[in-house]
Amino acid sequence: MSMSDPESDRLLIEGVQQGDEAACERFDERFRPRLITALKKRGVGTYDADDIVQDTLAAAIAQLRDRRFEGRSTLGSWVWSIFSNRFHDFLRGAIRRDRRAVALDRFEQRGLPAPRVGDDEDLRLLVRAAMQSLPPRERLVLLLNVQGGRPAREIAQLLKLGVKVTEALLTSAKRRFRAGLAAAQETAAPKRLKE
Amino acid sequence: MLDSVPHCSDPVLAELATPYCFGDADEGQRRTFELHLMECDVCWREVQRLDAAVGALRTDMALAHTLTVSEISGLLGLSAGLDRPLAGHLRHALIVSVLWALLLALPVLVEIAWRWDRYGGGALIAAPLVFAWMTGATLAALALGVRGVRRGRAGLAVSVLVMLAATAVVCAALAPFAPVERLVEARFQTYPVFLGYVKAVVHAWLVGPAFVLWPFLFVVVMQRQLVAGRHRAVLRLLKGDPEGVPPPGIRYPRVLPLTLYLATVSLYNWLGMAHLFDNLLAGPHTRLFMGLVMTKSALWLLLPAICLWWYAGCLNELKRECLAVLSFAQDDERRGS
Repeated sequence: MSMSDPESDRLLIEGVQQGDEAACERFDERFRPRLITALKKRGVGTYDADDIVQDTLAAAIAQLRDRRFEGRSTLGSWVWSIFSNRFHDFLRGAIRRDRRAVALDRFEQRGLPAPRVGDDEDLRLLVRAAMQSLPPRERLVLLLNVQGGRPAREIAQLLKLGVKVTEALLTSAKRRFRAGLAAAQETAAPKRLKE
Repeated sequence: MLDSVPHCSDPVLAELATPYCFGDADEGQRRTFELHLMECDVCWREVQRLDAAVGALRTDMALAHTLTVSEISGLLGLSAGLDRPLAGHLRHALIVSVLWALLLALPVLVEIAWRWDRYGGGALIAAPLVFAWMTGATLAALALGVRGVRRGRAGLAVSVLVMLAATAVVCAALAPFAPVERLVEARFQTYPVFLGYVKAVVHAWLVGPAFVLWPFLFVVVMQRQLVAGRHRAVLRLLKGDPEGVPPPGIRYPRVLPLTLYLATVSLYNWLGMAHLFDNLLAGPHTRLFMGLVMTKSALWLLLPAICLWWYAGCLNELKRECLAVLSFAQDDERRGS
């Protein structure tokens, strides 16, 4: 099942409302990593992210216990709205602290902290396999973009291509990389089972 | 059989995982997708996997080795054309072949223009034949040179020999039909028609090999060096580093000496033409003669100028390719260390 099940959501909510520790843990496990990811994508530091998410989840659990969740939206959307408020509070605090304008959309978009190579040999092999599934031109533009940090315009100049063509190549390379990763993982899983 | 792999119920939103993880999503897309992530376990798992992979992609410098140097240079620049017709310089080869052929065909008309009424008809048959022959021969000379380079030789000697042989054939073919008398009337003694033509051929050869063949084949040799991965050596040579040694069989034709040579021979040509025009006597087709001489002189300048322009551009392309590949390798080494 892809989307969260309303029935399991209801059970989770009831568990939290009744003060069930296991339900609270499940609630935390479900939302904490997603919210942390969203904050990291906006360049929020680890400590701030932890604080914001902790505030969000504590507020959500408290409101659930106070029966303030009315079920007019899904549980995820409701948690997201609490998170949005907390995040905006954080931004306003950041503005006050830094005495400079910090617009939400000006937050630099960053990826999750990259796992150090060698920490996960399996991941490294999967990424390598996904890269090998790309044609050389796409592999090169992807490396220049992701590793070299070069924007499409710069890559276009380097490869003597049009900017539009380069952008299309990059988009295609990223899609193929994702598909190659999934395929590599699917072929790797049975092998691991055999081992 | 049922598909055991779970899929997101909203494929449009699921597609956003790629720009989201690569950091390409705009704020609106990000918010929409994050809201979706709160509910969708499939997309959340996909984000976890893809995010980790993108992180590894960012930091694993060894991934650069999934591309060979020849693949990189093949994608980056001039060396990519080595296996194409005339090493990727077909257009330039066609242009210079036509100009060079015109340079040898036009004197056929020039030499008899003084008595166009008597010899014009024959010249109008001979000149196109010379033009067609020399165009084909020049293209063949360049193609054979390229083939030689691809096989590991310099190719210049073969090309020069082919062009020399083709020119000799033209001279030998024209000799029996050329009028024996001196047609051009001037205050100094002019050449008989055939010798005049041979003189024009010698003039053409002053620029032919130096501008048509040498730079062309040098560029092709450099392309081959790059395909072989000798970027550092090529860059050293092109930058004029004392340790930069050209490959055997061909010297590095530098742009400045070539330009100075062109300036010198142009001056010589201009002085010669001025001397001729100053001393010409009145004739029935003087205007035609002078017009053809000036056209020939213009061609004689145009051909090396085009070759030089093309050559300078190719040298820049070669350097750019070397720098790109070397910077790629340096990035790799630096991050690796």
